[in-house]
Amino acid sequence: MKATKIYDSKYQWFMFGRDPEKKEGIIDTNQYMIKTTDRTILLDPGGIEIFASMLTAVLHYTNVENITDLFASHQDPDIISSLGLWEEALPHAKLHTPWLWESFIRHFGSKNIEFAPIADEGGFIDLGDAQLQFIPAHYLHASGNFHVYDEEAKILMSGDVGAALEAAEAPMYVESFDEQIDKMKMFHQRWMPSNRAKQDWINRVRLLDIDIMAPQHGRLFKGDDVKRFLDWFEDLEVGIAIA
Amino acid sequence: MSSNSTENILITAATVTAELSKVKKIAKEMSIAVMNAKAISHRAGEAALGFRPITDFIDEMAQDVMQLVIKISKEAFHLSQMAVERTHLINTKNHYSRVLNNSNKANHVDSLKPAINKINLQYLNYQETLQKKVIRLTLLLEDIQNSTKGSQVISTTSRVEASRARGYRASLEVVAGNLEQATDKIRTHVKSSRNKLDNVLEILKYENNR
Repeated sequence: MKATKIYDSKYQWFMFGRDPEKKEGIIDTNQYMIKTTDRTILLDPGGIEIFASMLTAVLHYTNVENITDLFASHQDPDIISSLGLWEEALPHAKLHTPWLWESFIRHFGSKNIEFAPIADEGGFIDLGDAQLQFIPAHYLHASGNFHVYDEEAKILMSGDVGAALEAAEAPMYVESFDEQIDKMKMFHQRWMPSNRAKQDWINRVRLLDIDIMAPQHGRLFKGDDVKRFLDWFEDLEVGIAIA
Repeated sequence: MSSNSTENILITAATVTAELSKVKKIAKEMSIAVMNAKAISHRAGEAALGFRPITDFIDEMAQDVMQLVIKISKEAFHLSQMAVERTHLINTKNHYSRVLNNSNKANHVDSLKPAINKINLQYLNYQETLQKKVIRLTLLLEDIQNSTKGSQVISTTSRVEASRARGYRASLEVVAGNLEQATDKIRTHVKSSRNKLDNVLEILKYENNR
């Protein structure tokens, strides 16, 4: 699994993905890790199938004892079905996840991990060097859903928003926004059910200062492409599958 | 350690439960037949006096078997739950082995060792608990076999007593015949379950000795 440092200052952001060992037919996912001096959080650590590759990649950068927190934006298997496996190595870690999904996520082999449910309004987590905000993104696409914003690094981990279905060897960043549209249009129209929820999220996110928008699938958006994405998404009609 | 052995345990647990459900049905039928036999021997009066303690014995045996079946079914269900847990443990062990094999260049691979030692220990403990569970189930099945042990003698005695019951002879002979058939069937189902459990035990012993 490839690891890319996307922010490096007092603390670091890493993106893990483009796993060449990933089995055929499994959607490619981006996992994120924020490592401060003495704490580390994994954002959407991924499904069972990529657990071994993901942990192997993580061990290049941090001890397992330093992984104190996990975050699951929602309950999908590609987000957090590896929970039962992570638990074995992280008996003292906390899982931050929408309150709505706690009892569902426990189906992923979870026995001991401490759940830190996030209220619908969102919340904060203080990792010492880094302060993160949980930004509500309900119905985008799950009915309880959060993104993670880091004001200092100006990074928004945007879950399925901005996601694209593309080849596992795709570049890390969007190179041409216009070409990217084809790769993400259907995904957003089909997976996102509510125009109202979409607009609420756009209004909220436009207030944030963002250098990198980092989705859970596909390429990351940098600089002006973040604004391009918000404009494009605002004009896009979603929830189109109603016959 | 293989997924085949887990499948084997799951299938065995399900098979034992199914076989026991048949045993329970037979025991229930026996219990009803006994009520019928009691009514006949009551009507036969003095002529079937020797048949009454026999019906009491059969009734007691049927009740014992049904109680044991309930107990064993619970244990078999627990065994299938343990087999599922075991699959999770084996998968976890395999995932962590993969990490260990692929992480020789990773700076922090040593930090994983306590977790891997814990998983290995959990697995060994689980194997031991599972083995004990299978042995317990085998012993409970043996209890059913023991409960039905006297049935052949009783069946012969029933025929003798039935022959003395003059006008009720034919009816009581049917009861005696049914008892023999029912206990034979119970023994067959229990034997089949025991054979399956013996196989699982062999696999677990083999895995533990590796």
